[in-house]
Amino acid sequence: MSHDQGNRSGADHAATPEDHSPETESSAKGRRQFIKKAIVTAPVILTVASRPVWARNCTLSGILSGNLSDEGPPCEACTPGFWMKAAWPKYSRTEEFNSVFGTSHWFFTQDNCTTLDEVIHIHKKPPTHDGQLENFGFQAVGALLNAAAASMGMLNFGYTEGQIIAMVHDALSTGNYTAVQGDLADINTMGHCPFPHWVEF
Amino acid sequence: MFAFPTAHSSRFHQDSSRRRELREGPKDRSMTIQSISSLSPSELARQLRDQGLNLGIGPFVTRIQSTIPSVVRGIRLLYAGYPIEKDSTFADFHVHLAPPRGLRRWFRPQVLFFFDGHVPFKPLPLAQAYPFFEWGLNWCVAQYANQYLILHAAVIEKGGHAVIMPGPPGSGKSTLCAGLVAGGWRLLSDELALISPQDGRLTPMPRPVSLKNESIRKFAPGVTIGPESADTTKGTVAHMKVPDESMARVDEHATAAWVVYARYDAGAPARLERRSKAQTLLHIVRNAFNCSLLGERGFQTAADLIDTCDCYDFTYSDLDQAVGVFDTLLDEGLLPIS
Amino acid sequence: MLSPKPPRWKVPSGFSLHWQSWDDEFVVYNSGSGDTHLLDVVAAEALQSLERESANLLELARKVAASLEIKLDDKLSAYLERLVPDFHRLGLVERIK
Repeated sequence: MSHDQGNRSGADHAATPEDHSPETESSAKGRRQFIKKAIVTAPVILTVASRPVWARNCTLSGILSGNLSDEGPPCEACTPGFWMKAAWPKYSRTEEFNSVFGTSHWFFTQDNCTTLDEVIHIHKKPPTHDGQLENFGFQAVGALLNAAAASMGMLNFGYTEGQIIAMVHDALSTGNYTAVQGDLADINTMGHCPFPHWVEF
Repeated sequence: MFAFPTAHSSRFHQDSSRRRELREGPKDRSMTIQSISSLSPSELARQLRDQGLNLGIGPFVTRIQSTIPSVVRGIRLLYAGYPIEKDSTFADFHVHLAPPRGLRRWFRPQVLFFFDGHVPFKPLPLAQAYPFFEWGLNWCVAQYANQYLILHAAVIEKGGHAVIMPGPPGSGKSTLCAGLVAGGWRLLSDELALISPQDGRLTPMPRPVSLKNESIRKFAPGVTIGPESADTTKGTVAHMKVPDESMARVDEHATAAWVVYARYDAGAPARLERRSKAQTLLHIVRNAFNCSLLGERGFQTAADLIDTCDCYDFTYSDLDQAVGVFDTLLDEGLLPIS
Repeated sequence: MLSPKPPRWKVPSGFSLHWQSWDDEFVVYNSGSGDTHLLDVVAAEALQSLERESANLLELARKVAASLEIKLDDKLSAYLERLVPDFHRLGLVERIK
């Protein structure tokens, strides 16, 4: 079982990809092929985002355990419908969906549906044949904005931007967006929205 | 007002370290420590009713109070061999199970779980009081024992090698854990792996193993099963008493050798396959109770653990066959890659 | 008319990245964000390079190709062109002036 001793000392000497023990000719060749395969597709980075301790209860697992009392600060979330009209924290409406989430889903590169604003207004466009994907995009942008408001200390929302981005990215990479769409819808309705429609961030 | 977990845990962390230091060195439990079984049933009930009972469970002392008959009975049966801590001033957790005041004390009666005077959970039906006690105590440890990296996993050991079996309830790990324990493996825990950041070793906290539904009937007469509670969200639940051999070695830490993700799959033959260490590390980081909270230290503890362990996926349907595979893993040290 | 200089990227100096790897899979913990990431060997080499010193995309491609002993071709460039903005979004690298 191979492992890198270099890693034990932490940040001082990170084992680098070329630090591995001397290789035979054929294993070096196998390695190069492996590397070549890696760069053929778009990079995939799986991420586990750190959890904000204070919002621990305002998550799907917290709610689904079904047994949390009513004590503590109430969870807050705003629906995508709210975010369609309100001012946005941190993100600009013209940012590209695929740039923000690190995705390249074909649907969102089609004409007139590439920016965050366009995706959150997806239901106003002619319907596509994939209603689940439309809902997914709609909820994804809403969840991102909730997380952005939370990062500014303005919303008791249980997920960070990193977590939402990771969730959306992984769902689209694996094609599993139908299930995740439901999760995002639950997350976006997990509490009361404290902002008036005219809030400024 | 509910105090935020961070405030609680830092106070708790200091206190329990101090408590452990104050205890005497090598544990000579046989001579000086009284166990639950040494109390008469009426004395046990009286102490649980009045000042509460300070029960030593692995590294923690839990003060338990209750007048609820199923809880008293369950403790008498399933915690018979556990030590009672003489020093009544220190307890890591204060747990109290009681009926609510008012109508629900009598009408469709309920039970409340109090932790350090707070009520963290909604009440459950009175019939589920004993599982509520077990489940609630898991929650207490998982939330507050931040001197350890805590994984939601069963931990067993044989021949000096410990196996960590991560998995949420319903994944089949508890039944497999019970089967292995009945098959001679030592139980460290059926729900919570406690890993010391200092040395990566596992601290035992053996407690009754929860069994659900059909699994309850599966076990040989040699094990003690506590009373059944029906209609919990999991179905019918009962608990298996920790064997004496595991109890006798409660102070003996263990070194992990394998991480095994077990999954019950009806009709499937037992199959053990290696899994990616990197993916396993990511899963551990994501699903540990407190990896985020522990920051860099949490990550390093998890990384070192995975580095020193072989990681496997395991599917099974026949429990005896599964136990056989584990024993083979032990004998041969390493499963040949098929 | 001057063309704008291409952006330069670097892992912020206040951050420490903690690495653990097995075979060709790399796990990195970013103490700055508290996030944990799983990277392939190319992504890991790129991030470690940006940990050591800043680079624009072309310089990075050259360094990665040299370290991993692979060709500097369109595939590698395209890969890094997506990778570095991903790193930026995840808070692993910053743009420097």
